[in-house]
Amino acid sequence: MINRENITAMLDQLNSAGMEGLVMDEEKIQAEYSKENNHHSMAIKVLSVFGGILASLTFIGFLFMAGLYDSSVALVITGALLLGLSVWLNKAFDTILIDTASISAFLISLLLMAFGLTQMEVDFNLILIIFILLSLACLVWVQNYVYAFISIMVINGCLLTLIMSNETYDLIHFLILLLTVALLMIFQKEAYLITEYKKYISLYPPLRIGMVISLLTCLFILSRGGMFPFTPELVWVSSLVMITGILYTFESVFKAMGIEKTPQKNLIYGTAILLLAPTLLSPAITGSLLILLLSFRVNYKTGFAIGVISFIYALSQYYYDLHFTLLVKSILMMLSGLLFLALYFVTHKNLSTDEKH
Amino acid sequence: MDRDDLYKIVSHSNLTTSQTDQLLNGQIYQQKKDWQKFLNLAFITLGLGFTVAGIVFFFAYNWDDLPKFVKLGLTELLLIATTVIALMPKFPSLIRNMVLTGAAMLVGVLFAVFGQIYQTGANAYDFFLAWTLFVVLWVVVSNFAPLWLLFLTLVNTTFVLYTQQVARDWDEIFIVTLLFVFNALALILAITLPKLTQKEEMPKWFLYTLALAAVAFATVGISMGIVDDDFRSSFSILIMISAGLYTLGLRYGSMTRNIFYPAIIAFSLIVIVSVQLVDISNGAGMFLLVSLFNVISISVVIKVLLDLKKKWNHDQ
Repeated sequence: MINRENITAMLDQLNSAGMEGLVMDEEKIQAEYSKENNHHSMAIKVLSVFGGILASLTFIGFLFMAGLYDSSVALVITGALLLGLSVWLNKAFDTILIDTASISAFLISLLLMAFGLTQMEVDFNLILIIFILLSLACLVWVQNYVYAFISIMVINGCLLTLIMSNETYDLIHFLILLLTVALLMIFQKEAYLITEYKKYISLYPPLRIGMVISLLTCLFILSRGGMFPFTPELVWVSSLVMITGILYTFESVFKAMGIEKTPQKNLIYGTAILLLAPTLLSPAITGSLLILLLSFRVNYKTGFAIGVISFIYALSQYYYDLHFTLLVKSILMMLSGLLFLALYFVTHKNLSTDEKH
Repeated sequence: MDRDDLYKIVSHSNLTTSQTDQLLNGQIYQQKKDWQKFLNLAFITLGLGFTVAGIVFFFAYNWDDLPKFVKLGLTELLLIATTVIALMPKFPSLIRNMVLTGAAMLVGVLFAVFGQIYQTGANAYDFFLAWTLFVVLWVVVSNFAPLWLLFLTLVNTTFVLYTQQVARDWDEIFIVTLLFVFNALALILAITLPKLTQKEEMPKWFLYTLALAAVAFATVGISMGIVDDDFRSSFSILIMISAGLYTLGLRYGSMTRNIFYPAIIAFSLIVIVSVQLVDISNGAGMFLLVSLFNVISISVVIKVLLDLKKKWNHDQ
């Protein structure tokens, strides 16, 4: 779609748009377009991830059949070598072709080291912390979309395992708080992050999707009690985090919609708190809503779709799990339905007047 | 300018944070009118959704005590009400289509209620067949992708239940072949019919879902055929049909310059070859070989796809 003239026109337009003191390296920008290395279609990214997972799985099959897991030292050394290989592959060949190989090598190396270190009776916490640090280092160093995404998944998985293996289940709220703060930073401070950390700009997209999925994973663990024996009475802590996040997001929505008057804002905050309060026992609902709002605001379609789907799922889960009779549930739903319909009719005029102008 | 363009410019210019912020807010983020549309749609969807769900739950609560007449009457009333809303031109067409999709679901509820009251005791496939037949007109008239998806899911379910409850002597590969052919045909029609009738094209996600379903059935069928030696004749038919349809898919992909179709077909072929390899021997060496084969073949496929994309971009 994009050719040389388009790019020049776009850059000219920027220059004339009153961007003071703007200096661009047009040659390099043009070169980026002709290289097209960072922007691959989703199909190719998914293909390389699936390929990597498929290869790792068959490799585990090989490992067990060959009985190679007997020597712990050999496992750890092979793992470390593979990790080095996977990083080297990525650094040496700056192409998505190598992704499948390097992801498989990365995942297999972690598995090998996990087997080996456990057999050497290294403290399990220490293993997890080593993995977190290793993934973090790889993520920053390799700077590749798929690699970064997998690293974030590994880090989040390790953090969750840390909480589980130490039986400090309620710390999951702290993890959720951290993830939410990171998520808000990523979505709301995009301009700051990409200009101040230009070197790491390619990490921004995988970081964003990685955080969305990590947060949702934690929230859904919370709403399905069986998996994780946390204290049910404390679930509201995470909900509070989510609701605060949503209210914080409102500020930028007000800006986009041109809402400036304080009474109007307070009314909206009040209505929102009233509507969100009943979901205090299901942080997955408010969490999905937060992701949905943030993604819509910055026009991030994948995040928006993920938000909508998980919102619907969390809502149905919530009503299914409620320990009320069907009658109470039905009254609750009808009330919220009427409230939303009222909202629709109250705001309908305000929300559509502008379109006609 | 989209996000990718901006990122490229940011990395090779001295754009400041505030200038970038200005560009993001002005050109990439949603504007006031987008928010208005979004909130309008969100409120009405949530409002209607919750209210209808609340009504349904209310009757569910009193269900056992209600007389038959009321049970059927209420469901039908709800069905009529939703259908009437779907017919009102006052509402935006998206809302009307969504309500009609809800009505199509209610048809299923009505049949379930009917079956419960009269203990029809029929095979479950009857129920799905009736449901499918009675919504077909709405599906065709509204031509709304989510409703089409519901319809196709119903057809698939009806068929699978039929093979489990009635046609028990059909072999598994034959069944999967039929499912494959059905979904592939649906995909072909979904692509060609709008073009022939000059209607709006079906959304991409819909086509992709169909393609994924079709390819998944083909992959599962062929893998079963490889592992299981019993059904030689149906297996060879499946192979022939798959070869034909996969070729068609590849040609369509290259015609429309869309790498999605070649990508999923290639992945399916890689899975099939892996199954074939493990079927030959399932020793440790073979697993290592398959692991290597996966890495190499996927990399080759990605390379070919990238080259194709480059060529297509160049041609433009």
